[in-house]
Amino acid sequence: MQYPSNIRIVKVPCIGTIGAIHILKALENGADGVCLVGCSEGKCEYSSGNYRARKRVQYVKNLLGKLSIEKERLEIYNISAGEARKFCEVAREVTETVRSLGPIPLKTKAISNSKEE
Amino acid sequence: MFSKVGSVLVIGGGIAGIQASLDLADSGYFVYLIEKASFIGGKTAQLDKTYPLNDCSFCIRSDKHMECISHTNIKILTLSEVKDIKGSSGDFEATIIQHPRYVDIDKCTNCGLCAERCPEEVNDEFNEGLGKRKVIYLEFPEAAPNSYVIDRKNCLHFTEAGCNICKEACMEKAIDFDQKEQNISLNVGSIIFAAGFDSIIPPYYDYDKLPNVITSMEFERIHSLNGPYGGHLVRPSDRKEPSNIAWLQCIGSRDIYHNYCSSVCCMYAIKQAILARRSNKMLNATIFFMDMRVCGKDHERYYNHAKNEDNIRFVRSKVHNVFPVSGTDDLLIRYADEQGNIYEEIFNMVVLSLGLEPSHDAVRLAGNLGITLDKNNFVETSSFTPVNTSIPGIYVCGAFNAPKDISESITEASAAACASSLNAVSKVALPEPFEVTEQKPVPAGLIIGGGVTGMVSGLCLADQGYKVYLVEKTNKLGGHALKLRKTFKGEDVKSYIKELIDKVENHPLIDVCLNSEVKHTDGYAGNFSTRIAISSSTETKNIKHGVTIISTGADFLRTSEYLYGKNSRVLIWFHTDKILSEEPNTIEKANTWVFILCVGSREPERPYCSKICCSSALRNAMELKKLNPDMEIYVLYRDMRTYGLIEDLYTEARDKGIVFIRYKLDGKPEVEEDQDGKLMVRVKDNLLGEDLIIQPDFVTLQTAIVPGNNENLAKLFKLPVDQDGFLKEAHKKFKPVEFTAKGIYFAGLVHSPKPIDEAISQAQAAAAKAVTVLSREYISTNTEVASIDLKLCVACLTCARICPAGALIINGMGKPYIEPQKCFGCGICAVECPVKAISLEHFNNDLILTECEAFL
Repeated sequence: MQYPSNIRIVKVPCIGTIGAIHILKALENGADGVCLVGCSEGKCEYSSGNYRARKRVQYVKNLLGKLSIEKERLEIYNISAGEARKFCEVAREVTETVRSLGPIPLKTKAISNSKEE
Repeated sequence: MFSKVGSVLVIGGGIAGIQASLDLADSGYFVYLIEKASFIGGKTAQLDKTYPLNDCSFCIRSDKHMECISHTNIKILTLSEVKDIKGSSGDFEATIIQHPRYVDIDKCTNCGLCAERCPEEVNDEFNEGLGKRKVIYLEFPEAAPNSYVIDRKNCLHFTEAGCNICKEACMEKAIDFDQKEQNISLNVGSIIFAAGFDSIIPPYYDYDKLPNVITSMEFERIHSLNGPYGGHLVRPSDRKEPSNIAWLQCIGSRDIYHNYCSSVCCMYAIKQAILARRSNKMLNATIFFMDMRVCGKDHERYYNHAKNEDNIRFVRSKVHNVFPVSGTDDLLIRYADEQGNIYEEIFNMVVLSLGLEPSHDAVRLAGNLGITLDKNNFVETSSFTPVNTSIPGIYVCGAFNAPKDISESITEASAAACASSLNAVSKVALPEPFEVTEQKPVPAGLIIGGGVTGMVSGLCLADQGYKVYLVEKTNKLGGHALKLRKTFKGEDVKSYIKELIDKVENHPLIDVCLNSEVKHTDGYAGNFSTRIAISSSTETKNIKHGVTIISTGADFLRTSEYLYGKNSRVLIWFHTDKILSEEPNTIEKANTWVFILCVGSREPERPYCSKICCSSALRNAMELKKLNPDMEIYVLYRDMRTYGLIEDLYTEARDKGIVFIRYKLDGKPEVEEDQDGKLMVRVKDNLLGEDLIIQPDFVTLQTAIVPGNNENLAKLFKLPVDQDGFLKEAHKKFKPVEFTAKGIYFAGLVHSPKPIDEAISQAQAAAAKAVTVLSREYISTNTEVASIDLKLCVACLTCARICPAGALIINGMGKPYIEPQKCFGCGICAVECPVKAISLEHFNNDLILTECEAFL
């Protein structure tokens, strides 16, 4: 059971803490895609964090559309702590989707030490 | 005083053992947790979802596992067995054998390369033999400790000598075939048995021959996401989706070999049927049962929902045999309904709802130690000391005590932690969070409600050296339990309460406030301040305390049904108790007595079971029969809910000739009186299909337990109330005596209706939780709390609106303020704040951004 090595994990207490700014900055800084992974719907430790995140993802997807960036680069999944297999599957799926889309057109900055494949 | 040494030994790393260890460790005791498997979690780890929330409870459960693994006060010994225990309370000498794992836990990174290369495959016990695993294996991806283990029995290195494939494959050099069995000797002050249960291999229904006759645990594994079929509901023989499943109840329970009810099967069968119907909407689910015993909190509602909304078919019948249908893998069930009509039906799959047997290894060990076991091999305990075994210093919790579900096991585990902590005194330092306040917790507890529950909690706290304020509304201690005569086991309640009151009133640390009520309360865990008013005077009293335990109990229904209040011979349950102890003449003269169960319970306006009525009616009926053997006694019931070990009482009652007649909700019995006031009961007998007329001398109504005035209490303490009016816990399964707010706990009938033994174990559990707060050196705040930069704040109040913890309050200046003790650090306010005035320590905006950047 493994997930692709080109995924970088940023830990947060709840996906409700992820703001639009974080997603956009990640894309701007060279990530080709962003995936939010949080608790199952209705099972948020903090009552509604994952719903807020879902709404926010929709909002950012709209922004991406306006910037002519593929919406598929941003995804949100609900995976509980007991579903390691599902997490790996999702990680592979997301990597495949992003890989098929190619590098993000936003890459204006020259990233000298890019680690991407 | 003899010298007390050491720490606590917990035997069994299932959910009960884990909870007991955590509570002890959090109160500052050192714990050795002994588990025979290679991982902790026990049977609960094999379950997929839990009732009644259908929760994928893994999130909470894995939290507990991780907490246990990483706790500095807990030493976990996996693959270990207790060989012998010597000594006495306060000074036990335990000999433990630890079998080698052959993999170094510290080095193993879980890459899985070893298992990939391993040439040998065997049946996977974790998946109940439905799948295969390698000989070097990880039971399930989230197993704790998270490390591979070698199954020596099947490993080629040992059986045929020389296979070193895994060792060569391991890049971390974690595999060590030279590990040896170790004998460990531990000196402990007390011992908790949390050995749990074993499933039986059913010798019935051709389980071993028919692949599609499966056990309930096999169903759990099939449906589980990390199970052998990846969560896809298919039957074992041909991996096809079944469209028709039958559940057979009471397999290995309530028979001649097991004269007890396993308590959990009805609920888990309903859960499995609901889950099966969810994965396949067209599926037909049928449950064949004898009595539907769903007596826990919200269980009745779950059953009603399954029946009415999930379209699960319930058939009251004991199935005698399952036949294979030739040419297919289907199964034929022949059953008789209550009227004796025979039906035949074909199912794709049959699930046997297996009962629980006490763990065989534990029975052996307990036998060697001389712990008294009952005739079913469960540990014998008294209703008044529900976690004490016959040997002082050795305690029991979970399914080894009596069959019980997860939430009851957790409650008992906490209770055992509380009881055992009185014997072990070697306190160790508690790990303090990075940031603590300077404040020490007030070493006092406020207990509201002076019934049995409140008094037990109070004594637990006071015996550990904390000041206790016991607030009671009425002018005497004891509560409704004063009306009771005997427990279902036949113990005398009256003398117990007398003794308890005596202890409470004479305890130097307990301050009993009678005729008092709480008027106002404020503060946070470790530092509450409460105002108490005494009804006889105008004066009030201010109390400082570190924790609050609510045990205000419940009330009984004053019904107007069945001529109650009109005819003096129609009684409520406690009147019978009174007659039994005070009026032997009345009993001698009575020829016929009728008990009516479920009066006011399990009705549309009160859709819950009151849990205690069946056992109390049976106990009283037996007593009446004893005093007057010629008396005819009729018990009119809807489902006989003598769960757990109470089943014995039911069997005994039938043996003694007490007549049981089942009625339905739409055909309730009718009670009438003639001109002379003589009573007449008319009830339809379902077996005969005819009306029966009984002319009793007395009718006893087992009226419902109803919640007290909880609305008021809830408002005062800002606590949630459930749909039935009882207080609502933080999590039904895993946090049964806690609220989301820290420092406030509850126990007893204010939680839900329950018998005295369960109320007492809850009382002890609440006290155990309270001690985890009181024993801290300083009041701890969460390390990750949000803070507001008031210079940036524009007071839009968005944060106050969305805070799920209610930690954001608006102060007098019109600006928000975060109470650090309440904040649980989710960071939702920080991200919602439009001017970014709020930041979460350790997770602030810049940090996340830098992390995003640094990774790329």
